[in-house]
Amino acid sequence: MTVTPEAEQPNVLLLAGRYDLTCDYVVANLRRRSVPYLRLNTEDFANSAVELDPVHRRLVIERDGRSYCVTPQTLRSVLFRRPVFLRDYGDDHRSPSERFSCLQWAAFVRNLMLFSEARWINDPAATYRAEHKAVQLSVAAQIGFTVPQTRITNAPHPHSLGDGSAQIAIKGLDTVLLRAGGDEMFGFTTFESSEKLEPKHWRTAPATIQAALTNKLDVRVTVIEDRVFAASITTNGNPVVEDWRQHKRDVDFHSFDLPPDIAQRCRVLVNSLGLRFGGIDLAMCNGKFYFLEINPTGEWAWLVDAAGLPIDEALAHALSR
Amino acid sequence: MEQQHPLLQRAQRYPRGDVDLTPPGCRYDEAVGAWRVIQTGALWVETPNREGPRTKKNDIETGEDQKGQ
Repeated sequence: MTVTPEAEQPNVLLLAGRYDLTCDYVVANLRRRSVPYLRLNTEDFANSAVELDPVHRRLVIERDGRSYCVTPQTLRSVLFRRPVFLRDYGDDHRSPSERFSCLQWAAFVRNLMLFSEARWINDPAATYRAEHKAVQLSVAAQIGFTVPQTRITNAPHPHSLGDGSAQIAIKGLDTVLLRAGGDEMFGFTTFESSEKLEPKHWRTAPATIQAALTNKLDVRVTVIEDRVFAASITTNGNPVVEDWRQHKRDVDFHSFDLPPDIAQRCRVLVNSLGLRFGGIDLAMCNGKFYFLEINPTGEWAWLVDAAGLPIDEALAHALSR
Repeated sequence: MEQQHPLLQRAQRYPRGDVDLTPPGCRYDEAVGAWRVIQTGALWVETPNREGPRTKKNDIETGEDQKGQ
C-alpha cells in the first residue's frame, strides 16, 4: 500500500473493541487534548485495508477514504484493551470462518508489539505474565503486601491452610466462565467452612483456596504510572460480606484515602510486574490491608461516574506524554 | 454419577440471551472512534445522564478484562 502525503500519523493507538465503552472515555479526553489518535477495533478491521511491514515497522490503514500511517517515529503510546488469553468457553456457535477471522485478527493486534518503543498500557507480554494469580501473589508478598494464606491445589483438605482458618474463600485459578446451551456459568468467589472440604471432588481441576477475610472492607485501587486512585465498596454503608460482584447493583463506590505506604506499595507492585496500569483489589481487615489480586487490563470506567475518580484523564495524560 | 468439581457446583448459571451492547439511541462513529447520540450528534460519553458502564464490566461477565474473543 502506498502512503500518501495526506496520511494521518497518530501518536496514540487505541486497540479495543467497538463495544468497549471504556475506550470512549479515553477518546473524549484525547480529543480535548488535541492528541492525534487512532482507535482500532478488531471487529471493524474487515472494513479497512490494513498492511503491516514488519521490517520497516510501518502500519498502513485505509478506511472510509482516509489513510493512516503508524511508524515508531510518530507513535508515542498504545492502549491495549484486547485479550491476551483467547479462552475456550465451550459451546461456540460461530462458524469456522468467523472463528478463523477472529483468531487471525487477534494475532495481528498482538503482532503490533513490534512497536516496542511506544509506551504500552499495558505491554501484552507483561500482561500475560501478570494475569497469573500465583505470580501476582508471589510478587505482592515479596514487595511487602500482606497476602492471605493461599494454596492452589486439586487436593484441599480441612487443614490445608493450617488449623486457624475455619472459613476459606474458594476461587478459580482463572476466570470461571463457561457456556452451556443457552446458559452461561460464572464462578464468583464463595466462602465455605474448611471442615466441609472433600478432597476427592476437586481432582479434576486446580482451584485457589484462601483464608477468608471476614469483616473486611473492599477497596479497589487503580494505578496509572505514579497516579493512584482508590474507591471503597460498600452496600448501604456497610462492607460487603462476600464477593461484592454478586451484589453489583446494590453496592456503592466512594473515593477512599489510602495510607501513603499502601499507595506506594501499589505503585511498586504495578512497576514490578512490568505494567503501567493495574486494577488492584485490596481488602482492609482490622485496620490491615490485604492484597487479593491485580487485573492488568482491569475495568475502571464505572469508577469515573460512580466515585468521581478522574481515571480517564490520568490515562489520557499517560498516553499523550 | 461423577460429582462436579466444587467450582462448577458453585458457579452461577443464568440464561445467556443476546445482549445488545449498543448504547441506546447511538451509532458508532468510526472516524472518531466513539459512540454518538443519533438525535443530538453529541458523543455518548460526554452526554449527561448517559446509561453508563454503571457497574464493573457493565454487567457483562466476560472476566475482568474482556478477555473474550
